[in-house]
Amino acid sequence: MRGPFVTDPAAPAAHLLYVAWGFPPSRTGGVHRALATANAFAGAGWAVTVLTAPREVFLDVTGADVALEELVDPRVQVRRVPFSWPAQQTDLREFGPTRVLAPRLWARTRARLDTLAFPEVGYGPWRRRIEAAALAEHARRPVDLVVATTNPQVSISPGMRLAREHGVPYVVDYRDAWTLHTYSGKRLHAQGSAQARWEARAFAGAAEVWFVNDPLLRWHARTYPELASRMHVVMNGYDHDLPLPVRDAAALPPGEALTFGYLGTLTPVVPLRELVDGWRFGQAHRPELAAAVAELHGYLGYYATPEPGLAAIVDEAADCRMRYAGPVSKTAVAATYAGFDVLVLLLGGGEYVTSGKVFEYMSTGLPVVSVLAPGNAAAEVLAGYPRWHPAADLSPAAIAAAMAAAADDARGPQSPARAAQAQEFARRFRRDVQLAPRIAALRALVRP
Amino acid sequence: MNVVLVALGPSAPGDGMVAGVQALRRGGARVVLVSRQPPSPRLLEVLDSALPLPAGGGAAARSAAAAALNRLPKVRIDPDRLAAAWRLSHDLSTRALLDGAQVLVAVDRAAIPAVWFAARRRPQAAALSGLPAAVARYPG
Repeated sequence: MRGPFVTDPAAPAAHLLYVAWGFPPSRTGGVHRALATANAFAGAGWAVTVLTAPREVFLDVTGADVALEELVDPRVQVRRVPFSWPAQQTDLREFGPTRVLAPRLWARTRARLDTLAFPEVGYGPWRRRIEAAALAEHARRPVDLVVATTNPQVSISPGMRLAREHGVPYVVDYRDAWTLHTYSGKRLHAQGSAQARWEARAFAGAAEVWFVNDPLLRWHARTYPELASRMHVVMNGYDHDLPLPVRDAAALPPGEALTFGYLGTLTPVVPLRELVDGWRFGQAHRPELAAAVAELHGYLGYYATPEPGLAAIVDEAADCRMRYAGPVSKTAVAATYAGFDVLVLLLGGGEYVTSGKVFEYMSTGLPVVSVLAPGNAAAEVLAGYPRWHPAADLSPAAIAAAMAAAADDARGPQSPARAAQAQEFARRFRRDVQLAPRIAALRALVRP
Repeated sequence: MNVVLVALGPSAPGDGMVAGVQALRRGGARVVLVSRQPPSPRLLEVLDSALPLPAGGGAAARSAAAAALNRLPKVRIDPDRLAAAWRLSHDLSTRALLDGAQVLVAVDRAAIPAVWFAARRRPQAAALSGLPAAVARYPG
């Protein structure tokens, strides 16, 4: 896909096989982490080969951001492994009568077929193909290390296969949990289930297992205490090309409206309805918000097709100066943030959920209003951020109060100084800062 | 290129479709919507035209037929969807529209049977699920 990959047999570069179903031009969750990880290894002198899904999967189904492809380090070689996704097929001529007339029956049958090779609906059949691709890659140029980022969880299988057959060490980047439901905090798959058995085997053989936050690490360390020493937190962080230029709301004339902005995927688990109600309440009862406008940027739902329930909510909110502005390309992120005076962070529940968005938000130095389900792990990350304005709960009054406080912060005379202070705090969360210690440790593992 | 969007779900086609319709029109397409619910004002503005799903009767007969079919284990046939498919393909106004289309798009899941049946009788037309799929295939 990118420029030619130069292989020099005399060069000592260690060969990383990086398995990430979602890789540019994907715009799916975790793609920025995948992109940053591949680039960081390449930047550290590794020869990096990525196994990922075909571009068409992202262009046709999940939604794509083709600009992301420009950000892939030219030294990274990308191998697209065929992936069929019948459940997300968009060509209706490929649909059979059963699927059209009895879609639930079709879905049930499809799910059974999917999980024959690997216990993951939708992705299980990919196992054979990515394992074959990994073996071919190892034959072409011996692999020194496999890093697999989940989900989908099937990504763990090539590393396990190369470890079993060729003794190659592997790392599981557990970007998301599998047997733990991160929103409810309860077990999603029982001990002894096929999923739990696969997870236990993957962890037992891994050189390292990475998690995106401390609560996730702690839960898994409790579940697999004998493996705790191999577990590490690699936070999502933000890209090194941020922080961004932000506009100085303190310099705005008193009558000029502040812009509250949300940038990210809006999914059914985020408290969007609560945000709209809080915004409406604030417009009616808080003078700080009376003239303010709100902009929501991002996809509505996990797929390219807008989720109807979310679309209905944003449509309803149009009458209270809250505008849905659609998805934003990665290359337009900086310009989008530059148009905001206050950021609104919406996250669904869970002590285990942080999202990468919180780090990017902090990197701007702007006031951040958080509308989080109780106990969300992002609160732990935001705790030291000097311009954090948390809604005490999800009631309209609490959300409006947090927004009013953020508006005062944005307009305050100390705003530029506070922005600089906030950006300084955020720098510890840069992706490269998060990844560097792990890459160094893995270099020592494969090239002692 | 004539694109017919079909939306038969309970939600009104809303602003979330505006960008997709605009992209198709930038590519030179004429975009018409047939929907069970009226579209939002912003969406209506960017469409070439919008038609309501033709009205139909026989709800009791449809329900009885579906109930009989649904006695089969694990089969859940939605009588409204099949009836809508029938009306879309047999009403004179919408049938002419479908005959002249090069692209048929089921905007929501409820519209899939209708578009699927329509496409079987019109082999020249592409039949897609989801507006983004149409935009991806026919970018502006």
